[in-house]
Amino acid sequence: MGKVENETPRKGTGSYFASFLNRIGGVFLAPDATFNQIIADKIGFWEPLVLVLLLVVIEAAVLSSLAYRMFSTFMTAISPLSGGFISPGFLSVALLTMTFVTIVVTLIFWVIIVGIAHLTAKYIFNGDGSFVQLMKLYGYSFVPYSLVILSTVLLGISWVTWPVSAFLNIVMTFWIVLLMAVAVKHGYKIDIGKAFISSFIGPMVVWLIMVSIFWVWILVIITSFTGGFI
Amino acid sequence: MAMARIILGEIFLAILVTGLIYAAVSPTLQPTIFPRLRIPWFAEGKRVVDRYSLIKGTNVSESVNFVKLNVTVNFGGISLIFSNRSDMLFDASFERAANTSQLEVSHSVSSGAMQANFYGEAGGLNLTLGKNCQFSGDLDLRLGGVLIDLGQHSNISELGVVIRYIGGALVNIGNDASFERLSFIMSVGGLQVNIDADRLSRSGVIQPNIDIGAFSIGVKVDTKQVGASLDATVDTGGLSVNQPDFTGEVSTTHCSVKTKGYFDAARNLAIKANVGLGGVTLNGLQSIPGLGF
Repeated sequence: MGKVENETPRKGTGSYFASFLNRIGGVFLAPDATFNQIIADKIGFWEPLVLVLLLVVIEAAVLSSLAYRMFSTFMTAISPLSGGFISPGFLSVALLTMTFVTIVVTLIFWVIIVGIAHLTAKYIFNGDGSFVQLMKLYGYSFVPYSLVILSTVLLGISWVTWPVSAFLNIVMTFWIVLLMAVAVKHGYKIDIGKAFISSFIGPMVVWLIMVSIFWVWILVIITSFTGGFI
Repeated sequence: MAMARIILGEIFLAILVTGLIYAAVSPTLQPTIFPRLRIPWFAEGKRVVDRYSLIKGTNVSESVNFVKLNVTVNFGGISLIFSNRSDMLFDASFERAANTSQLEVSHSVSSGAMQANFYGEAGGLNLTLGKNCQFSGDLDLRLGGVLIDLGQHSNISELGVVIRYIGGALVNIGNDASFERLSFIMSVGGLQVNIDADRLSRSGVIQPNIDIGAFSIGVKVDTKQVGASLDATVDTGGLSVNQPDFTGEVSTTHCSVKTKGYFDAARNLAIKANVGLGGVTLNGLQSIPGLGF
């Protein structure tokens, strides 16, 4: 079975849209073969970029609609106290700002995790690949994020669906981690173990270092306020 | 296999479209419902006004010349003004929501002195006092504001204002105002005292004690007739004096200033303020039309 999945399929002859759907479905069903084909077909950067933006914007829109529903009714409920100070217009602007910030943060995050994986795979494991190529593959690796959209919609319809939503989120997390490892494996032609270290362990170590620095910094600030008692 | 991929791709697109449609329509089609808060003293809807007045020779003895006011309003406001009516002791109107308790008023007279008690749960109490009586007493408020307008018809011996939780007070002192002592005790809030007077009927003292908040004084007086002084202390915060008529010592937390010729003035007005956390400012005052000075 592994042999079949590692085969690079021939370039499709259908329309662009059909091949796009083929790639998306392939990421779910046969990521090895699909990533190989993406590299072979020299797919441009725009497709994964639009894909990531679509996923992030739609998830942000669903979350914003939920937040709008809750906050607007909450504000109506407390309007005798607030005197209508926080208007629905204000909420809309706040949610649009949050959506914009989410998009920017996602793009920055995308660049950072690709950067870490690229440095690890290329300079530690001597892989052969490029940063832009990995950016593209990571964009496709983001496809299971659609499960998060589904889970948020389910939660929005009814809070009773929270176990299903939680399950979908867990599945999505593991799936994306797996896809990122496969992307590094094919992008840099290294084995899956090294690819997993590059794509997951590397960013995790960097993340832990950053969090540690942050908390040490916080501790230093608190200590300076308390005169060295802590 | 290819067909399965395309079907999965279509499912992926379907999820995106579903998310988009859901985001667009859910605020309209599936509103979240919270129970609406109903707070009696802020309640919208029907408002009612309770009225209570005592007129000399009509429902109270003409011999009453001194009234001690004991006013308590839990939430809302108290306004105190003087009228030029010589037969009136006081007129009280209390605006409140229809579903809140009405103003409770009681009074007793002994040897020409009256004790009048007012208790309101939530609402705005407007007290209009007559000019031919001397008044003293306390205004007690938990949350809200107090307005005191002292003009030519005012006649107060001692009046204490207590704002227990949070609130503010505005005191306007105009020509020929007559009071001996006004004291303010406030937990959190601000006090503004505007003195726009070329004459005062007698010398007086204002004593604010504010735990957290600001005390602002605006002064415009004829210094030959009215000598004003300010002794203020701020524990934590700032203090500023920007009135050219005042001279004396000013630091960042304490000041002791007087108008020029303070001791030679016909009447004196002394302000002795203590602020815990906050500020004190002394400024000039532009005449404010319509304040009834």
